[in-house]
Amino acid sequence: MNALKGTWRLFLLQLRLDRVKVPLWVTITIGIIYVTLDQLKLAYDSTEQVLLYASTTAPSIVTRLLGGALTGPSIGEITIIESFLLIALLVCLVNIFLVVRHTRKNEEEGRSEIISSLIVGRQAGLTSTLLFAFLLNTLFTVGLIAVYTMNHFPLEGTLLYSIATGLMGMFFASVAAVTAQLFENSRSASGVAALIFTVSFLLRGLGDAFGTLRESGLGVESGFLSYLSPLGWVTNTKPFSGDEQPWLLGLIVGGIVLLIIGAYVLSARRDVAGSTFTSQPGKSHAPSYLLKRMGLVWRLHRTAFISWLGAMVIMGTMIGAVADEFDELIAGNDQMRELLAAIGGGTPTDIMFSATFAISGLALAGYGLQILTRMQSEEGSGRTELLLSTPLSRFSWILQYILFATVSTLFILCATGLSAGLAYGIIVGDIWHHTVSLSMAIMVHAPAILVILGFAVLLFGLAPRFYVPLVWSMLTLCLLIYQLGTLLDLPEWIMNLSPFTHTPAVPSDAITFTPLWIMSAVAVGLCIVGMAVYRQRNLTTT
Amino acid sequence: MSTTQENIIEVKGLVKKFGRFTALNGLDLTVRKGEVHGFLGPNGSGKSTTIRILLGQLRKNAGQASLFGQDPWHDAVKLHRRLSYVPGDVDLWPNLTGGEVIDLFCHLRGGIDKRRREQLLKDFQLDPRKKCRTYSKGNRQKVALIAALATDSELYILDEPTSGLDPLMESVFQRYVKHLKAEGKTILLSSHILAEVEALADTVTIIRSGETVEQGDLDHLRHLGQQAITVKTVKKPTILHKLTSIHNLKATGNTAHFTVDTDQLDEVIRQLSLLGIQRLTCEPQSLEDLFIKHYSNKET
Repeated sequence: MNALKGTWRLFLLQLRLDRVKVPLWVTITIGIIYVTLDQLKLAYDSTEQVLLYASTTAPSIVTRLLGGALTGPSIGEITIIESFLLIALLVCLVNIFLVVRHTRKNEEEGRSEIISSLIVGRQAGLTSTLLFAFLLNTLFTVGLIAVYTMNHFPLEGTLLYSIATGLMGMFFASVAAVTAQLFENSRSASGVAALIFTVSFLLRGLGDAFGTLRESGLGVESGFLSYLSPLGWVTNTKPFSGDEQPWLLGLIVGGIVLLIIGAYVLSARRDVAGSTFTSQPGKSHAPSYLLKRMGLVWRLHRTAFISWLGAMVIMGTMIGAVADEFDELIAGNDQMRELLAAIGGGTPTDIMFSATFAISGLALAGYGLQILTRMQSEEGSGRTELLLSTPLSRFSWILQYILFATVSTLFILCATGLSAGLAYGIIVGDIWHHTVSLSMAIMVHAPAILVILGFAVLLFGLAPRFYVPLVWSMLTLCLLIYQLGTLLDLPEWIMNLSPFTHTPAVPSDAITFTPLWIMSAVAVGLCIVGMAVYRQRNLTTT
Repeated sequence: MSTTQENIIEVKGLVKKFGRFTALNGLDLTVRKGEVHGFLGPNGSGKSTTIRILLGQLRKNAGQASLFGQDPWHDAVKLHRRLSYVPGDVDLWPNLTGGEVIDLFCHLRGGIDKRRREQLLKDFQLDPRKKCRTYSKGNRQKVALIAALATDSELYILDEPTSGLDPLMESVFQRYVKHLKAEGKTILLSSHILAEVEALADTVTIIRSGETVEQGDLDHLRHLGQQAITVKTVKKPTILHKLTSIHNLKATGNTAHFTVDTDQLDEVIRQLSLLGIQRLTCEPQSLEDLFIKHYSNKET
């Protein structure tokens, strides 16, 4: 067991390093789930209401795509549909980042070199990290069992769902343990693991979206694509449906075991800081675009830009392609039509476009922030200091980031609407009209995105040290307000904090320009003040 | 030491505070045109802070700082056209190659001497096609050094530029600095490596806890400083205890070690000769002694 020597000590070190992050994450995640359960219990307290929910939700392709297939009319299943997207994101990403942070990132930054020179076995780092992930997922599972039990959900279903979700976290921890061996830098390692997560999510989404509606109209059987995805294995355990499939847990455990074995085999064969895929030699001279204005900013973010553009265009196309079906589904359902009429104007298809465009807007605000938060890591690492020692002004430097962040975000936003419109137009005819009108419709979210980015610029000027966590908390708050605001019946002033609350739901509602002009003006103002503050402050280095 | 020479860097009574912590407490630094100026001080004494103020990245709280007679904060961009900077710890973009970074910086500084770039790559033995993430600390430092040396600037600000280089590369670096000096360039060299400063610098400034403790011409400082003397006498050198011009006296039997201010040397030797000198060595203090004198004396 020489290879494992020192595992326990490393484990304790990791616990100490993450002593704030991990408890905070578990508390917040479990807290969100608790509040959601509580509210859902209140909202759907009669069989009638549960049946109404099932009959309207089961046919909804958007819900199937994002939340999963409703496997049967029970309040337990409703909670899963309503919270699965958020839980899957939180649990899987936190596992991926945790594992990469404690393995590849250590190697990349040279900490492993010191550690491996101590009396520490070759596999100790990997083992302690996996133990840590196991601890995290166990804590999460226990928390989940606790909140479901407190809300009086059936014990069997609670156990099955909580364990499945915990195993889902462990599965992606194991995926990251493998990618950490394969790639030389932590960005690629977590990027590829996150890509695997996204593909799993899409597979499950497509499998569920194209699943078959039961005759009763109250449930959906997932298509086979869903069974190809580890996330599909979790939802298809059908914990509260009365038709449980606990054998799928075996599939997840099998996957975890194979992945962990793979990680150990790869790790045993390589050098410290070595990897399966090493970087190839690059150019000895800078290409001319790099030397132009915006060249460096483009170079640093082009991978992110292209990936987001690709992902959003694919999503837009898919939504556009299925939108027509949505109208037909609703046509035969009187109840659903009444419900939609009560929510607001517009056809079911319009409502669906409004909802997906709002989510796209929020997601793309995340993309914009990804670029703007780079300003902090550039400054903290001293690269900005070096750049600004040349005749490059602070104004020009920050302006390049702001311009790139806003222009590329709006470009992807427009491309999303365009691809949705194009796909929809091809199917229902009148391509030109739908392409133009949906591209325009999605742009109502531009002002809200700009406000978020403007706030980020201001915070970067004011509080560079707390900038990154502040900025992400801000976006998380907007996401929570959007997702759970109406459900939790949050007071109006909290709802009003999010700029997305002030964005009209186009195309289902009529467009109102006043809030859009105001938000655009606010965004410009925030950027100007942020830049002015930045020009006057000290540069920070870590 | 003529005063007609232009001062490239002029810092007087500079104060910089970070919250409650005072990083610079009345620091003075003067660098004249065409000289190599050694900037010495232990870790955390405020060398990098001073340089960051000179680069317009930090705002001073009090005192004066000027670069080419202008304000480093307000005229930053204009001033940066005339200088090149190499930081001590360089963190470069992991997915850019060394060659790309060199071109980028040279371009930003207003142009590159291609022949010089190739020569520097050869002399410093750097492969420009490698991604920065694969470079060691020394190699990352070479990238920043080459980017600075391949640019034609009036002033070079080098903040511990050789802390990661091996002795061979160190000598290549020294050769280039001497070459720059011969071309009439001005260089501010912050360093820990005293041998390097002794080999290159004309003048030095020694700082401690954000204050200047010694400043001036290197030869002058050494001679105006103290001489280290070891002497063996016939009679016991008890008389030495009474001399105020003697410092750090350690006497065992008839042998004594001490330092003496250079202008008191004549008087001390006269006293010693009365005791009957058997053996005598007398050395001017090295920079290291000067350094240690300032940091050990005042710390206790």
